[in-house]
Amino acid sequence: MRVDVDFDSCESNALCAAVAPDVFELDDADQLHLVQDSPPERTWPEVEEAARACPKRAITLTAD
Amino acid sequence: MDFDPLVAKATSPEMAELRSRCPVSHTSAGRWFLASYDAVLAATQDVELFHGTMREKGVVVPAEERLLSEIPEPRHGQVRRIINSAIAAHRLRTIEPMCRRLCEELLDDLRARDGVVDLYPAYISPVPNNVIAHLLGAPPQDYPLWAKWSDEVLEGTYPTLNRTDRGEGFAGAHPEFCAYIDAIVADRRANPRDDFPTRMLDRELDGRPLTDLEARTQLLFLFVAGNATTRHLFSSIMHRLAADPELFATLRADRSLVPAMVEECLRLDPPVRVLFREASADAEWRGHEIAHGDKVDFGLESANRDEGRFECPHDLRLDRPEPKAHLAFGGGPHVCPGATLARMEARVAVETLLDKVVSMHIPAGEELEGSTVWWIGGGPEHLPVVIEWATAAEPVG
Ligand code: HEM
Ligand code: SF4
Repeated sequence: MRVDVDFDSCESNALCAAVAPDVFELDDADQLHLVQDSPPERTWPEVEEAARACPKRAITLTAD
Repeated sequence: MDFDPLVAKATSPEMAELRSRCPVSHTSAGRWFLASYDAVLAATQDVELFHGTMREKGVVVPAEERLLSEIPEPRHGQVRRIINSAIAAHRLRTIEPMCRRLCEELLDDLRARDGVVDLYPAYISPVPNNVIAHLLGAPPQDYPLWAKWSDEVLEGTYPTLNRTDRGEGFAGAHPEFCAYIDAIVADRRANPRDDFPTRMLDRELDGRPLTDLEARTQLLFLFVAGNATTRHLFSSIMHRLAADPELFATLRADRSLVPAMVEECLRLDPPVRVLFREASADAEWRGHEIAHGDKVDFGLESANRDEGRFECPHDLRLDRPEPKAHLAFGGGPHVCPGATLARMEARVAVETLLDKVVSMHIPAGEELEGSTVWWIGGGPEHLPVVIEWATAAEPVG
């Protein structure tokens, strides 16, 4: 699975990071970073929950 | 018939009927009411059509004095970014230890007292108040002031009319609270430091920082938004624990259940029972003709008890497959930005209580009442209990 974030619509609320901290991380300047863009299969349920939790619908998941 | 879903109990057969047969209804009060989980969730996402506002028809609020919930897109998202830099998950690392210390101190103070104690003023109310004030850079000794002021705002007519008997706008309606917030803004302009108010004044939006008036408005909203809400969540949890010794013992034996307890209390007793919106245009929505300016109420409490979404919706279950599926924090682009903070505070307050208390019960004959503000739900506003304290030597679960 590939994870993409639309950084223009991301509003840095860290809701994704709260659900999937191994994949999404925010720095001290409130900028979101993707820790990994092809996360391992064991994290997929969390990544899917993170995508649903994003109120800006900024996270897109695609099958490789 | 003058059945009004804003007044009816979410557990009533009439409301169950409404959720299943008539999830979008025009009420006897001339407003729209959304009763089902599905309708409420979809409507929170449709921010073009449904604009957030508690104001009565005809009340006009100047742009700089619009609360975050009232600001239209795309500016709303930009202002939220700034707010998130105070209260989003990645900013909370230092807040959790502060919150735990506070909970421990409050309970230790309480322990020195005998007989029946009221948990509401002694434990439930000070925690959210102090945490917010800490985030917003207000000194802790001012606690009695802002705690009183923020309740006065909720109980008064400023949120609906943008005025009180005392005057117009926030400055006229609540002059002391306003002066207090303005002093924080002025101080951070003059003496910037490493805190949220300073960061908020530093950030640029559309090429300019927030004006003093905009900064005041957003700070005021933060003071108020996380206060009564979090407090009523705490009181729902503590009330259910005090009323059910078996539940208390279950959680005390297994702390990993605390987050599920917090979510079930949010679902069953949502501190915000209803969200208020206004239609921004004439539209057909789910087969109904909604007119520009119509008031539309989203029944969060009703949605959280939707038989179509939650199995046995009126039961407290600590093993629901999707514990966070409830809509107590709303949904869509306006979803509560303080949710992670509120969940953390509630978890820490319950964990600390379970550390120090073996059991507690409510003395017979106590009448417990909730908020006098009708759209605020959650638990009661006083909670007298008799506590059996853990001895220091006793190992805890
Ligand atoms: C249990 C506690 C809480 C509950 C149940 C709660 C509930 C809600 C709900 C239902 C909304 C409305 C969303 C909408 O209009 O669609 C909201 C918005 C908001 N809440 Fe909370 N809240 C809580 C705690 C907090 C805390 C601790 C803070 C901040 C310190 C906070 C700050 C806000 C703000 C700023 C908004 C406006 C968001 C926007 O319009 O974009 N809340 N909250
Ligand atoms: S949940 Fe969405 S908006 Fe929030 S930080 Fe993650 S990507 Fe950005």
